[in-house]
Order: sequence, then structure tokens, then C-alpha cells
Amino acid sequence: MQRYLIRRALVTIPILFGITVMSYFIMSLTPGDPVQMLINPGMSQADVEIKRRALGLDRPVHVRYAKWLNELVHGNLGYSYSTGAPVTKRVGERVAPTLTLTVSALVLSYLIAVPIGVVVATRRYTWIDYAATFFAFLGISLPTFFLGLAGIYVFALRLRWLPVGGTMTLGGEGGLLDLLLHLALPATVLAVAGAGALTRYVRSSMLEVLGQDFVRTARAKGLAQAVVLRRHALRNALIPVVTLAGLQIPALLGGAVITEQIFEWPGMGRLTIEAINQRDYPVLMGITLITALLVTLGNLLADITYSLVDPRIRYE
Amino acid sequence: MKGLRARLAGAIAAVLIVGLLLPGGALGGPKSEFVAVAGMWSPPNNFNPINTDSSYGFYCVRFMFMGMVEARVENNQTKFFPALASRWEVGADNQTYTFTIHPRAAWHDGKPVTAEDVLFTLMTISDPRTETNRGAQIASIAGLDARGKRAAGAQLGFRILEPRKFEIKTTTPVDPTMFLEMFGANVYILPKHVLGDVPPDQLARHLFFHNPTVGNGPYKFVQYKTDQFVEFVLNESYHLGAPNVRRVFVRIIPPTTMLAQIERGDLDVSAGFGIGEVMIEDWDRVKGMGHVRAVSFSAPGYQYMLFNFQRPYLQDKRVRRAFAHAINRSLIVNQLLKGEGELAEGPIPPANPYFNKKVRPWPFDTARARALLTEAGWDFNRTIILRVPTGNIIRERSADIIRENLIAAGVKVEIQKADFPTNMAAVRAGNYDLGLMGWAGPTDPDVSSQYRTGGQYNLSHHSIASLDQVLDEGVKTADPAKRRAVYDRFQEVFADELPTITLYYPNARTAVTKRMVNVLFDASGLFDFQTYRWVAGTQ
Repeated sequence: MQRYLIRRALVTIPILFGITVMSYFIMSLTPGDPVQMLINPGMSQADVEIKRRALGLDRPVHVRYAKWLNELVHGNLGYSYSTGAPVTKRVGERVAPTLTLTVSALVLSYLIAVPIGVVVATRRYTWIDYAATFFAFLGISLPTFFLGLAGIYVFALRLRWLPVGGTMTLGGEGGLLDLLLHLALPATVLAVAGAGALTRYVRSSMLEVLGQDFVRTARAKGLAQAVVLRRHALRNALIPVVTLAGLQIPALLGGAVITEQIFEWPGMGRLTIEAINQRDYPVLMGITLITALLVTLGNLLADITYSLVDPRIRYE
Repeated sequence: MKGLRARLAGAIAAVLIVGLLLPGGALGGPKSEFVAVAGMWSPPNNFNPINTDSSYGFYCVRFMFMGMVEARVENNQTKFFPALASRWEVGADNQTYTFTIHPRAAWHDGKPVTAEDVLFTLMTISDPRTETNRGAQIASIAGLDARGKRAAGAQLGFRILEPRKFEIKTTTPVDPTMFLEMFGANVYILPKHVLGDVPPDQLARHLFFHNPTVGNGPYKFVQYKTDQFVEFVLNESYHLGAPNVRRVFVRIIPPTTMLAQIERGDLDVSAGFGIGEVMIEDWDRVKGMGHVRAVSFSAPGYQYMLFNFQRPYLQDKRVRRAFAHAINRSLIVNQLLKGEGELAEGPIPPANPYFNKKVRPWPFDTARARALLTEAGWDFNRTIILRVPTGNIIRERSADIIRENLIAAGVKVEIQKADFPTNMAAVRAGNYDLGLMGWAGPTDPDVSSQYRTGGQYNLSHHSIASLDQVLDEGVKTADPAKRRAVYDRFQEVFADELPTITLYYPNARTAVTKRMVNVLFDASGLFDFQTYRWVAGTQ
């Protein structure tokens, strides 16, 4: 296991290097540059040239990349073109809000999907199965944009139970209750969107297990249906479902662009869109690097979890 | 199952813990008569008075920082009011300007605002190593070149007379209105005692501009919660009298949910032109709300159509005139803007004191357009490209109307849309025939940067001698009455030459809660610059 981990870690380095090279060069091919798009009547031509030089945009792309890489090796991700703040600060301050939203949504989607998935698997082809399928597909196919706005209309505008957006009440004390109130709508919207697919997943995984010999044996022993489901079937059925969570780690940090936009949530998804619109290359590179790291880590975690929950898998 | 339940509980606990790690809230009571909330669409990039690249940043900056004077358009005249300066004198030569700083003007840390601060600000902006966007505003000052930079060994035309009194000399005589607007109202003063030791090439990255605790304006910076809101608190010792509203929050609210916030009463003011408006489809609904005033005002922004002058077939004046006749601009205003806009043939807004009423837009006349095109020898089989930047829905819709109009006149048009930076790159490279673009300018009518040969924002790449001549004359004329006459003539030349076609001047559509009074918008600004006059009652 240890040797396996070391090997995986070593493979990661050239992969990350390749990703940064490709991202940097593809990015530089994007039409439009961060200085050229600035339109300000008060700005003179000299101001534009000074800015271009200050950001290093007057140099060829390979020189810029080498400089960026050199800074990176020294632990510096550079400065944002558009705000002048260090990239680490711009990206760092979004980690907590992003995780708060995405992890809550993930947990919520499991809480919705697992019970429903199990129930419909045991009641296959009944009205309850069809109803669940219908709602699952509704969840999958309704755009979060629509769900979000509908949620705002009902809960914030008509019933006035929840705020329209943000993470805290203006001028309020903040605190956990306030946060939960603000979290309720965006997390639910994200969870509903994710729960649809997950329900189908749990259902099929459960059906597969229920058809296996050891479940028949358990029933033959005269165990109650509930015990069979809980002690024997569900545990095995959830193995692949739990692994899914590991694979979702990068998505968790990537944030949820549309949901964050609608609910004024200060997350990573919004930052990415902002950075693209402003052609803020250093910030985009920072996000790319962190995402790439997380994807490799997520994959590794998923593999390790698999070997933990499934004794048949061994890594050497 | 037990294990699973424990794990789930653990996960939920983790969420809660992460939640607790989020920084806590602002202090202060619930919303009362001392709190106001303004809403704008996007986050500010920084709070740097001499280098904020967006109107969003600028909207926040002006709560905290000021220039020498404040400009306002009243009764079709640009008037100036005290800001940091309590008095100013214009020399008889129109070349010498003396400012006296208000005796009580002070920085938020209690230190007095002095002529040294003004000098420091000018030296910083004119330093060739500083990242700034104010260079053009100070270019008329003696010792600086046309780009607002200090030539080597040049002596800046600046003299400190007393600690709070200074004199500025310009290179040539200039219209005092122009100078007062550019230097007086648009150059905000920086604190020398805070930033004086920062190397100019490091200034743009200085963390002060993310936490500007030492300003000189009516409001003090409290905090900026990323992507959510900026919080200000009143400056008790503001030299022109403390504001009535104790705390102002500028919230970042996407256009999609702004209506909901207005309807709920969460929002008191939508920020203003181009940064926080009521969507045109929501306009009627806002007008019908009992607790809100729907305020629309003429803003100095407009949408226009570029011709690429590098294309020989667009260099003929008759072709451009034909396009002006072909496009149904009233239809765009009436249909897309619900009548909330104005038409003009030129880059000076109808609400601007320098607007020439005698110049009328070319009337919509498809037959005339076709005749002019035939006369100019237009090739009716040629397909031309109309480039449209995305992001402004009304502009995108107007492109379809323009295309239909041009097809009716016999011109084949293909629309190409791209996001703003991509579109800008194509236009700058001259890779287009027609292009749509928006602009918002200051009150001063000098538009050389867009319409003079080689101007920085001359995206049409045009060079028209008659325009150059009249623009140069406008900059050089120091006598206000004569200068007005020059710009009257400029607008006539513009309408004749049509370097671009001015499509429409949209009104800014804002919403202001009825519990607030003194929220004022005037033609000089894109938004209300006088927030210190806001007065709020309880809801």
C-alpha cells in the first residue's frame, strides 16, 4: 500500500506540470487580453502601456509561463490582474463558503436519495417507483437556474420565510442560525439537482444486490425483511455509492456557478466566471492548479476507500 | 447501519463546523432610519481611486474619497460645489488655478488633508511607473506630456502657497469648466502619510486598496465581504457636516434577483447606470410598487455602431449616411427600451449642457438609404459582418433589428457574437465591418480619444481631417462661450461625416425606496454622487 501511494504521488507531478503548461498556453490563445478590454475615458495611452508592462503582458508567452512556474516553485501564485490582490487571497477566501454550500448540498442529496432509492428498489414497478422515477428525472432535467428562481419566488417573495440571497443578514450578528437560513435555499436547490441521479444510482445498485445469493440465504434463514435490507443488502449496495462521493470532491470545490450567481453566494464557481470574463490569467491558473490537485487526490481517495470497503480489492 | 448513521452525523457536524468558520457578521442593529442598502450587479475589483478598472469599484470609492470639487449639472449648466476645496480661483489667463482646502478637511485617521497630499497624488499619477487610469485627467497640467506623464527633468506646474493652499498652472490656457471637471472633480486625493513610501510600481498591489481605512470622504470603510457587500459607516467629523444615514451597505446582487430584493424592501437604491438598474422587463412592475419610486434619468451613456474605416467600401460618406437612414432607431427605443431612451446624432448626450439641439438624427428612410447606396456604387452581393459583444441584452436584441433594417435596404449582414474581451480584440485588430459598442463619458465635450485620428478609443480606425480640426480647436479654446460654439460646430461636422452612428441614449432606470429622500441623479453622473445627502426615514 505504501509503495503504491508513493508511486501514485510521483506520477502526479508530471501530470500537474502537463496540465499547467497546457492551460497556460491554451489560455494565452484566447482572444482578448486583460488590458485591451479596459475602456476608461480618463485613461491615457501611456496608462495602458504601463499597465501592460506591469502585468508582464508585453513578453512572449513562454517567458511568462517560465516566470509563473518559477514563482510557483517558490510558493507564490502571483497577483490577480484585475484586483491586484494575491491570488492565494482571492482564491483562499472562497474556500470556506464554497465548501459550506457544496458539502451541505452533498449530504442533503444523500439524505434524500438513499432512503428513496432503497424504498423504490424493494417496490419495483409499483406506483411509488414510477413516481420516484418521475421526480428523479424532473430533478435531473430542471435547470438549477429555474429551480433557484422558483425557490426565491415561493420562499423569499411570497412566503417570506427565507432571504433572497447572501450568507448573512446585513447589519446582523451573523451566527449559525442566520447562516442556515441563508444556506437553506441554495443548498436545497443544489441537492435536488444532484439527488435525482443519485436516486437512480442507489436503486440500481440495490436491485443488483437484492438479486444475489447471500440475500436469498438471509431470507431463507427467516430474517425479517428490514434486517435483510439493513444488515445485508444496503451495506453492499452502498459501496459504489460511497465511492461516488470521493469522485465528487473536485466538483465540491469547483463550486456551483449558477447557484452561486443566483444566491449571491461568494464561492469558487463565481470567481471562475469572473476571472474568465476579466481574462484574469493568474487567478485562472491558481484555480486550475488547485482543481487539478483535487481531482488527482479525489481519485486516489476513491480508490483507497474502495479497497477499504471491498476486501476483494488490494493495491500492491 | 449504525456506522453509516454515525458517519452521516459526522458529515453534518462537519458542515456546521465549516459554517462556524465563516467570518461573523457586521455589528449594528436591524435596518432602521440610519441604514441604507444600495445594490449593484458585480463586485468591485478594488478601492483604488486612481486605478479602479470598473464602475463598480468607482461607485464604492466615491463614498470614501473626494476630489477638490464636485461637479453637477443644473439648469443645463455644469456647476461646481465645494468638496475638499472650500474655495478656488481661476486666473485671468485661464492658465492659473488656485485651490484652498477646507480648514477642517481631514483624513479618517484625524490627520489634516494638505496641499502635500494633492502634490503626492499628482506625482503618483504622472509617474511612468504607476498603474493608473487617471493620466488623461491631468494631461493639461504644465510639465506633463499629452499622456499625463512627467517628462524627464520637467517641473510640475504646482506650487504650495500655504499648507492648505496651492496653485496649478496648465501648459496652455484651457476652459476652466474642463479643468475643474477633469482635475477638480475626477482626481481623488490619496493620503501621503499612508502611501508616501510605497514604490510607485508596487502601489497597485498595495493591500491598502482592499482595506482603505484612511479616506477623506463622508463615509469610512468598515469591511468588504467578498462578492456579498461593502459596508460603510458615516464619518462623524466630515468637514461638510456628517451625513444623515449612519451605515450604508452596497450589496452585490445579480440582475435576476434585484427585483425580488426591491419588492421585499431589502434594497433601498439600485446603484445606477450600467451597474445596478431595473431590467426593462421589470420596469412596469417596479412603477406599480407602492413603496418604491421608479426614477429614470438621462445618463451620459450611449450605444453606437462602429464602421471599420479600413474597409474601402465603408469610407464613402454616402454609404454611412445610407446606414443611418436604414436603421430604425425609434423602433429600437420604443420596442426594446419601452420608450426609456433618446435619439441623437452624435456623441454628446441630449442632457449635456453642450448638446446642439439643431442637429437632428437622420430620419428612418429605407428608400433613401437604398438610393444613396446605389449612388455610392455599393455591391449589393457583398455580405458584411456585424460584431456584437454579449452581456447587454438590449444591445444584442437591437442587433437583430439593425440586421433586418439593413437587409430591407439591400445590404447583406451576418451577425457575429462573442464575449466582450474577444469582441474587443477583433475590433481592435480591425477584423470586422460593423460593430456595436457602448460608451459613457464625462460631461466635458472633448471626445478626441474616440474621434480624433489615432485616438486611443478610435475603434473605427478613422481619420477625418474636418473632425480633427474642430476637436483640436475645442481643446485649445479657453473662453467658455467660444468653446461652446466650437462644439456646436463639431456636432454638425459629426452628423455630416458620421464616423460612427449613435444608436440611442438609454435612460438609467433606477428604483429608490420611498423612505429615502434626497437620492439625486443628474446628467453629470452615471449614479448618485451625493450619497452624503441621503436622508432615510423608518419603514
